[in-house]
Amino acid sequence: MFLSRFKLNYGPWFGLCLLLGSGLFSLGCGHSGGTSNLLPPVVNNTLPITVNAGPAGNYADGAFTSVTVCVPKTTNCQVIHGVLVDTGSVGLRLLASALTVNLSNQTSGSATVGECLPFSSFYTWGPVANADVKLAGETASNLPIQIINASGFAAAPSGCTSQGLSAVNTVNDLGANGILGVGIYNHDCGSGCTATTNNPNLYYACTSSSCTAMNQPLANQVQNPVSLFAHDNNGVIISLPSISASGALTASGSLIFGIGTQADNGLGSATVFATNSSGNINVSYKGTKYSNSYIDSGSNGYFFLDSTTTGLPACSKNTGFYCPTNPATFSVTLAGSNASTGNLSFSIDNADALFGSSDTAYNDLGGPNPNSFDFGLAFFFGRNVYTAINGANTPGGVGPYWAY
Amino acid sequence: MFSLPRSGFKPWLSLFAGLCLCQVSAFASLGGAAVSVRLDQQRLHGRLSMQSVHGIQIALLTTPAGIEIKEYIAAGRVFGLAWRGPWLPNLRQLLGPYFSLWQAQAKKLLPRRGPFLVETHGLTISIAGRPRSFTGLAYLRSDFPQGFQARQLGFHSPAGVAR
Repeated sequence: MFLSRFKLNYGPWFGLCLLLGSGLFSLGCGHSGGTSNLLPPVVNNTLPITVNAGPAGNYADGAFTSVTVCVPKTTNCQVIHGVLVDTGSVGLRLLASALTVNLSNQTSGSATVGECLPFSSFYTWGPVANADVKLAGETASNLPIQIINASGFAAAPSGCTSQGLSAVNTVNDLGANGILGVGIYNHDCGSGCTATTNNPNLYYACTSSSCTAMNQPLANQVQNPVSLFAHDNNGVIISLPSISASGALTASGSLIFGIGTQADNGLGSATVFATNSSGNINVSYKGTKYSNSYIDSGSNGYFFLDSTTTGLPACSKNTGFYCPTNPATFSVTLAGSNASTGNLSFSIDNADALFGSSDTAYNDLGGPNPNSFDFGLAFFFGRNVYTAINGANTPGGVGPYWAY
Repeated sequence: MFSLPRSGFKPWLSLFAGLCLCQVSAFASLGGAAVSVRLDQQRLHGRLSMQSVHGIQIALLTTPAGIEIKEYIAAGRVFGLAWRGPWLPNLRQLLGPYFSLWQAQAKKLLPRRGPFLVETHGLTISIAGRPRSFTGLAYLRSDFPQGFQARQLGFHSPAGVAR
């Protein structure tokens, strides 16, 4: 579908020129004859996303989408549904069980390149392969991605298991067929993994039975597909509708590529919160500043502080969430390293009660996270949330930042 | 786990060294003697500095990959850990005898994406963040000095002790 629609470089533009009368479109069309004042081509930069229970039917507050994965430079493609949209990580990771196209793994000499990537509550392990990845009308060509739990691949090495986290290997483990990481970085590791000293050892050269830590050049690292787009490559917007405090069965919204690159992705009146060198912002609550705070569509709810500090009791049924008797409201102040500040008010309701319905979308789901604030998907409802990539130019300044 | 140098091998010496290391290793890190901080430094190839805040000793260990680890010591024992950095530290080393308890709990976290806080058999552990920026805590509440509170652990205020 995507292939046939955008195969021709100029045909669709012409159609859009005829159909749309907006200033941007008509200007672009008017100059398409080859003058020096060229505007970027208009491509479909909007990928539909849905908040639902996910492909395993076990998820709350997760935004899912579909990605098209192709063997590089071929039309041998597959659409994979139920992929979690994650502004907290970088790179596309797909369960091998969801993949039917035959992608070639990266190699290093006679070894196959594997990667171990830790998240807060699990790790992903498996080979790195390259694919042409199509998202709406955008393409990331020859993008390094991770294949999770590939059959016949070496077991996770001790450097990967020494953190004690569990591997996600199945759609039930992950609650998704993969993770689409569109966060603030270009690469999932960065320069640390290219170094011969002080390397965090995420990448491994593997035989069929064992793996040895290796350096991985930036170009071969699993990376943000958005960075590799020809256009609309400076960040993303997640747009989700407002929902009721009692929850919603599902919610539909958009993952929009680019910030201020097209008529549909302007920054508007959003406040820009630049992240610090660790990729975090400050959040102040009752006079204490929590400097390791962040915005992350891949987290379910508002995760913040602890029961002692918030007065919110833990749930008896759903451990890891808050269960107040009555909804409780919190007021905090966000501050970016660019000195911008913004007040935010949010409510937390009883997760045991919320999960008692068939709903999958909640704007008042919360849980503990000592000494930090994580604004997860619950925060995204009723907002356009901008995630700008490190080093990218945008109308709101150079990334990385979040804006809303 | 340990391999002794092959040159100058002396059976009596290896037995002696083995006993000493085993004794230290059995008490390594969380819940262990203050001296176990040195073993962590050695194993994690870290830089170590010490500070004392309100009678609590804090060993600050920085690993080559840029992970900062605080080990909180009172009454000669490590009662809490806090860390932050681009990646997670070697918790097998830092949790010592509590590592298997943590592994068993970690299995119960799926499917989940987000920070968590779990308590099991006296061990409390929490991890937050995402690739390239993590924070975490692990502590034994029953070993807290009198008046100490869990929210005093961490990096959110100077020296990790909020007053």
